[in-house]
Amino acid sequence: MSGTVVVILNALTLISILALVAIGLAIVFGMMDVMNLAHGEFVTIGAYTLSFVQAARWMLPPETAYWVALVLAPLIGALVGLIIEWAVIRRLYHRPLDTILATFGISLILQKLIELSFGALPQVVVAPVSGMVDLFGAHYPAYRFLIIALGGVVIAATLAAFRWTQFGVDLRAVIQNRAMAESLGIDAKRLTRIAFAGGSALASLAGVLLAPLASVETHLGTFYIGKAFFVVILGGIGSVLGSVAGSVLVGGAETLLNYELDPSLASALVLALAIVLVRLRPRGIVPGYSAAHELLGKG
Amino acid sequence: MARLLVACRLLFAQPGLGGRERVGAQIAVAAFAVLALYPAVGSDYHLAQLRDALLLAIFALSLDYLWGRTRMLVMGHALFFGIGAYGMAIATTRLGWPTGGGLLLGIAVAASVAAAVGYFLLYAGVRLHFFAVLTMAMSLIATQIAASWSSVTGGDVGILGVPPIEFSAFGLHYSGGDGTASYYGALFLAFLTMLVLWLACRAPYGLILEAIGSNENRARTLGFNTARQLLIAFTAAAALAAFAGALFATTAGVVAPDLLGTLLSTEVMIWVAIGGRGTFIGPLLATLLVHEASQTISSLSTSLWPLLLGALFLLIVFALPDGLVSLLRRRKEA
Repeated sequence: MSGTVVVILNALTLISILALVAIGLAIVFGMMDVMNLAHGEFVTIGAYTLSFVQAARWMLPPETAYWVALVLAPLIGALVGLIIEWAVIRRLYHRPLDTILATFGISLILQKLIELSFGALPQVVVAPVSGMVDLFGAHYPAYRFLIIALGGVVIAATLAAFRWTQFGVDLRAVIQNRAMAESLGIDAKRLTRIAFAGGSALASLAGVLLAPLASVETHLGTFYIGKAFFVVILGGIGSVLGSVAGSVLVGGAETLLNYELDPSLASALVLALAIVLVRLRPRGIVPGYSAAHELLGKG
Repeated sequence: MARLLVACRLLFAQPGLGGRERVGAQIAVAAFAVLALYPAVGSDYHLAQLRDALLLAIFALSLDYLWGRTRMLVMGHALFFGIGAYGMAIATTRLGWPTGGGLLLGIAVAASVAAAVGYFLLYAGVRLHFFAVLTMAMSLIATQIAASWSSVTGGDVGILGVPPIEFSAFGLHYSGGDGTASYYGALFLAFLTMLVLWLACRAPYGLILEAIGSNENRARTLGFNTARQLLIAFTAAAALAAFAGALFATTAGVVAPDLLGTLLSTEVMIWVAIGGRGTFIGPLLATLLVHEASQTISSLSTSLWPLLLGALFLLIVFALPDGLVSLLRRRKEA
């Protein structure tokens, strides 16, 4: 019994983090056919913000500094996202393959800039809460409960905003048919910019949350971007619900397989699963976009 | 039989040489002549470095064939190069096979992986950025597997002691262990690959690929089975990359997980993009130049080269979408 609870909680931890990373990717992709390969770097930026704030102290104990970083990291992520959108991505609408090359270049540059300013060694970060909590007979780290709770709240808020606010309606309109939305007076460019910054902020938040569990180094984001892409492909482009569903599938499968297999073999199996599922459901579990966005090129 | 004849016509019917192609052919002949004379002046060290670059150029040509003609970008192309290299290393050091068997093993595994993955993705309509990113994920995971499955792949250290290729034919003996002989071998194969790809792509077959690349829906409406053509091209490119990888393993003598990884995949995209997609001679020469530059820069600082690679991507996208060849072309037209 307690073993099952631990497996479920482990899966939930991974799922919350994956969903936070994937939502931004899915929305931006749905809105402008842009696959942002620098998205993983926002996770890294979040984790490094935490280590920087904790190391700088500002007369705070590291546990309190964690909460400062939790607020600061999404702001920094959003700011960097805005700069990238303004400097590069808005110039490359309708050139999807070039966007991928450009964002890949940005990702390389960001990684190396972080390495040059902080050094190649893993950074030290401290979780804000320690100790274990008992739940249904399972002994489980309190910090992971915090991840699940915080992640769950943020994801639920994003889902609600997407579903019920005017902003969410506008976003969905742009995703379904950009030209039609624009002709109805929606400023698609402004929305795109906001969505890009918002997605970057969510990824940075995920970076803070996962930092105490991971080794904080410059390649941190690379591990998560790959998984986030499976999530988006499986879940469906341009759909928050799809990202959550994809995260459940990828995170759940990987957690279960990790108990039986070597981690790299487990990721290989998840990838194979993703590739086979794409054949069966090319538009994902919860397609968020219309026929205007084919996976095919537009020539 | 009739189908075979049609296939032959598709591949071998050659149009006359256009003005732009004539310039390319002149550059190719001149480059070949310079490279053939290089052993007379170059040191052993530089010769070995250039030979490695020539084998990497075959790898770049395999990506150029795919990306330049069908506009299908593979961001994890090193996956196939690495499979070829590991196939050769495992066959010769673990199984005791001759190098010819290793070559076939590497090519067969790479082609099967490409055919299986390509079947699921290409027939599902996965194209462009999606396809590019999924192949990148494949190369990432393959690197992890190569690093963790140490009983077969040697883990992070890789496999040492891959023997050089040796064979005798027509009374002549070729030994890959000899610096000059292996240099000429690599030079010959690189230019032969370029010639074959160039001839195939200027024949009607290349026109089909270009039709798919410029507008797949239109090509399908004209009656071409586009998914099948793309699958064949993807598999062929993977096999060619594995061929280059297997040869590279025999000249380097070692294989390691980074042969499958992101940095090599990134570099090969840069070589092709700088040389000019779809020009074949451009990527070949760009590989030689950029590889030389990367060796020099990496010896100064290890983190400087990836930083420059990132900047090069931005430069290509914003300033040189057709590579350095386009500069040449623009000046001729001006």
